[in-house]
Amino acid sequence: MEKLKFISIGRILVGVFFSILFTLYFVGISYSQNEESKFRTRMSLDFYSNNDKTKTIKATVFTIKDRIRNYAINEKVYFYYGERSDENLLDSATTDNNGIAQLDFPEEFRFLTAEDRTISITAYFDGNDSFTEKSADINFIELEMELLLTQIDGSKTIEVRAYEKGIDDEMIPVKIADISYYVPRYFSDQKIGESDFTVGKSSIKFPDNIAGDTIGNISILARIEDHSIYGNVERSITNFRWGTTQPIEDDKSLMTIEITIPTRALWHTNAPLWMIITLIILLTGVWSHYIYVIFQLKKIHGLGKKNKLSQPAK
Amino acid sequence: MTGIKTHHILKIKIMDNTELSLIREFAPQLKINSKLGQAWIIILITGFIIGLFGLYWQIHKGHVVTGMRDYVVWGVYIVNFIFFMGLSYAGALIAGSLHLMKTAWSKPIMRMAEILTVVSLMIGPLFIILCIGRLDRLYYLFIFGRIQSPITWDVIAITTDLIGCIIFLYLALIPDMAILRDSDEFKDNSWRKKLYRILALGYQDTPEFNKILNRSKNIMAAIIIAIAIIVYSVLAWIFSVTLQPGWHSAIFGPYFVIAAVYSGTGVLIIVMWLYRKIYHLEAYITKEHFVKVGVLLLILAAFFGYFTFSEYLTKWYGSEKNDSFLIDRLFSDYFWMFIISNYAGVIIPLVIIGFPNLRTINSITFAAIICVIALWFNRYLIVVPTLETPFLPIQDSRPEFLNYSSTWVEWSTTLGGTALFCLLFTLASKFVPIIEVYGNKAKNGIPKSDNPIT
Amino acid sequence: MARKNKKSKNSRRNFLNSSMLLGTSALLLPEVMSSCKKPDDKVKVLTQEGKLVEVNKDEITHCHGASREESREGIPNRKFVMVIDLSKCRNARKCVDLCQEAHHLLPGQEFIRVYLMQRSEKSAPYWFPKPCFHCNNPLCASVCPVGATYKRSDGIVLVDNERCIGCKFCMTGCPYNARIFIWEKLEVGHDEENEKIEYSPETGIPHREGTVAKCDFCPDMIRQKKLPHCVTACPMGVIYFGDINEDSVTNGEETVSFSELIKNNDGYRYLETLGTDPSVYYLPATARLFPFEQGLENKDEEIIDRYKNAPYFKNKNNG
Repeated sequence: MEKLKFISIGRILVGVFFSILFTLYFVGISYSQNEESKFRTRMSLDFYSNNDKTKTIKATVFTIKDRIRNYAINEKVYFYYGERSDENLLDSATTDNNGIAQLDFPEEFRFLTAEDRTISITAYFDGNDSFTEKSADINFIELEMELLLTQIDGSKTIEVRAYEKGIDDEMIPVKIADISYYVPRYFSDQKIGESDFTVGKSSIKFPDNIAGDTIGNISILARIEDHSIYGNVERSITNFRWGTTQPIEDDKSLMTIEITIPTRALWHTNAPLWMIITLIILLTGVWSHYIYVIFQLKKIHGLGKKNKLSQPAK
Repeated sequence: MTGIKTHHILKIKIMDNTELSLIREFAPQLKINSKLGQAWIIILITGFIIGLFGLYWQIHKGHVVTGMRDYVVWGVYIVNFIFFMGLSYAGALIAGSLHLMKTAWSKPIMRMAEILTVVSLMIGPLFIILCIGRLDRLYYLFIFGRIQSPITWDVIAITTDLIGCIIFLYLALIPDMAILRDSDEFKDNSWRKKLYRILALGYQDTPEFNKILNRSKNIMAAIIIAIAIIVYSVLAWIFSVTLQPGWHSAIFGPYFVIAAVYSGTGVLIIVMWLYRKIYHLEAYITKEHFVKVGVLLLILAAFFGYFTFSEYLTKWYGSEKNDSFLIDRLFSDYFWMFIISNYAGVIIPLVIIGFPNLRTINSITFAAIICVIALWFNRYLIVVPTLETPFLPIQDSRPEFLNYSSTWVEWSTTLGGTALFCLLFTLASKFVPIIEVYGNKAKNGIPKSDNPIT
Repeated sequence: MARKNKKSKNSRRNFLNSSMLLGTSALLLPEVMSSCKKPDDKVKVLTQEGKLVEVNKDEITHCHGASREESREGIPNRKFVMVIDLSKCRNARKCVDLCQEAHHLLPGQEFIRVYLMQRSEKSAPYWFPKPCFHCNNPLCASVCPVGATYKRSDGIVLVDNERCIGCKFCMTGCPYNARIFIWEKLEVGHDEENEKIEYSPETGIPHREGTVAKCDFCPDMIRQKKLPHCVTACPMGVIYFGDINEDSVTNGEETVSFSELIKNNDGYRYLETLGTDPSVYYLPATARLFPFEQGLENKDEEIIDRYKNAPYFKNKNNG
């Protein structure tokens, strides 16, 4: 009896073992098939301090296949301070057509900071049928930055001052950062220089070949891009002319291109005047002769009538 | 054969036996009564209908049924347009200048020249209309016309020319209308008589009338000559203001005018020959006429040859690549066409008419036929090869865009247009005497009234 | 990250579970596959940050261009200019393909063509993309009898296909052969979507039979501050586009000063002596990135055939 028991227990165990294997195999296949048919999601999480002093956090959700990006559209992304939990929830956003889930904060908003003044944000994307789930985190310190234009003895400089706000509101100068200077253009922004910081200050000489708009106005953007500590910080000065009371012609550093639109040209809707006049003269000359001849014909007709009446048939 | 009715007593002092006999001679032409004539008109109408079908097919399927493509955008239609417009300027110039010079020998052929002018001015624009992509928007040329465009110049010029030539033809017709009105070859109530009466405007062969008519004719003759030259130059400028190699030539204006008068004279000779044969006008159109017009053809052939030679010599001698591509093309793909048009078309008429021994009516007509064919080819060689050798070599386009080959649609419409041309001519000769009757009475020793029309 | 399934130790439950799982995953599998979009519906473009992206085709078809009256006025205070860097072009023809897509054109009707040019017999051949040059002294606009083609204040030359009578004078007037003619009624571009759109010369669709069409610098895209299609399509960043008044051109990846670009690279305009004053500049093909033969590799026979009359091949055959 005991032998039978052992044998049956053994069979049951073997059966369980194989069924576990079997199950694992099938479950594994079906699950991995699910997994394989989904694309591996990537997420980039960035912090922006904008030039109107508002702040933005952007999470971009995408996959890459054959070096081509595929964005996740209309998906919810959750943002937390650190670990994922209800009390840590900062906000949530939905990705737009470019796969970007964006949170905007006004200037007054204060993030929860840690003791060393860093802010930690984690973003979670829960995945969908074609995208796996993904999370990303970011640690940053907010930077105060201001942009100045100075002119000393005729040499013009753009100056940037950047500092972190200390615990007691003291100004801690920025240590290491590269800053790039841009001019906003119609389709994109054009880089005009870059510099790095020494004790919280950075400057470049204002380039003398920048074109303004039609009235000589120009804007400058200064950006710290993709900094490991500060994220992206941008400040700008818009629509200035050097020495605002100076007339444009004296300002040789700003190129202004005159826009002249001709009012008469060979290719224009309006013909050159001489063409119109020549045509009128020619046409009048010719058609006046025609009209004269037609009047002569009328005269003949009139004469004919008169003749018929005055010489009755016999 | 007195046949003078009493209620025509007013005209007795003008009409007499000779004139009546003239009318009687011409009158039969004015009625469609011969089998051959009827068959001829039916053939022409058939040709015209074929042309109409081609036009319908083109409207239905789009211009893709022609041979034109993105590079050679102007083909047979434009060639026909230039060709037919050219015929008209010959008529205008010959009629106008011969009138002003008051040559006596030209009287019998003046009417043909005048009719040639008007008819070809009506046919020419039909071909350009075929080339327009959107026929439903043709009136835009008038309401949105831009003065800077050579096509607008062309529209204005052709309209002006057409009206001028019609007026001129009409002025010349008035005396004949009067004679026909007064003759008794036609029944009084027939539509013809009524039409003649209206068109004659009550004209009588008196000094009063003749003074007015003379003045008008002189003015119109002078204007016609000027207009004809301007109109055809405008047509030449359509080509020469573009930058295309082969077109951007300074002498295009005069070149086209000379070529036009040349081709028109050739057609005039052919018309003379045809009418002479068909209507038995041997008494009125003699060898002398053929020789005189033939000499005109000779002079024009020489001018045409001179202009053509000048044009191609300049292109060939200079080393500019665009010009040499064009010349190479002309001498390779278009070799025979070039020979016929620019060599045969000049040399054969020169030889035939240049040697007095070779001058017969038939040989002169043969020279005229060669001239007409050569000039059609010459137009083709001006329009098409240039478009096949543009500034930028044709690349990155499908192979079928490289060469132009015309399709049946283009030929059927050409046939239709030519048939219409002949048809209009035939109908014109049925309506008015093809030879000026009025002027002929002077030859027969009848005293003219004082201050006749000259 | 993976959610872990709890495994049942009971074999019967296991078996049932696994069979259920198998069944449901078998059902789900086609769902998963079909939720990926079909490859035809997408098109590759280069974004302004220089990343290669696939977008749905509908996103590149036209939004609304300005009405016929408005399109005669240009975008104010702008003057658009294009710079093509010939040292980077390898005849990838992505510019041609995307332009054909966006303007609903058939093969053979190209707004932008790529030529194989050679400065002289001894120089190396190079690939030469040629859009319409939007000349500042346009012969096409001068000779149009009805004013269907016009130059706006922002430099763009457009064709109004509601005014065009199809005389083709502009096609003979253009020395660069930039124009095409719509010889027959086109089926493409005539779907319901496009018929509902009011015709605008800025998009040029739906095409009108019997009228002329040409490269238009995509004004409908420009109005939305997006670059023309050929600029974004080029994988090498060959084409730069911008506003000459701002002295700035961009190819989607980099934005540079136009005057510096032309000055430092000896930029020129094609057939400058014709006096048409084009708005498209070329940077000579020096310091090439690729030998020109690469432009003929991996191409259809039909495409290679198109170049057999190029001067380079002709000279090779002759000499």
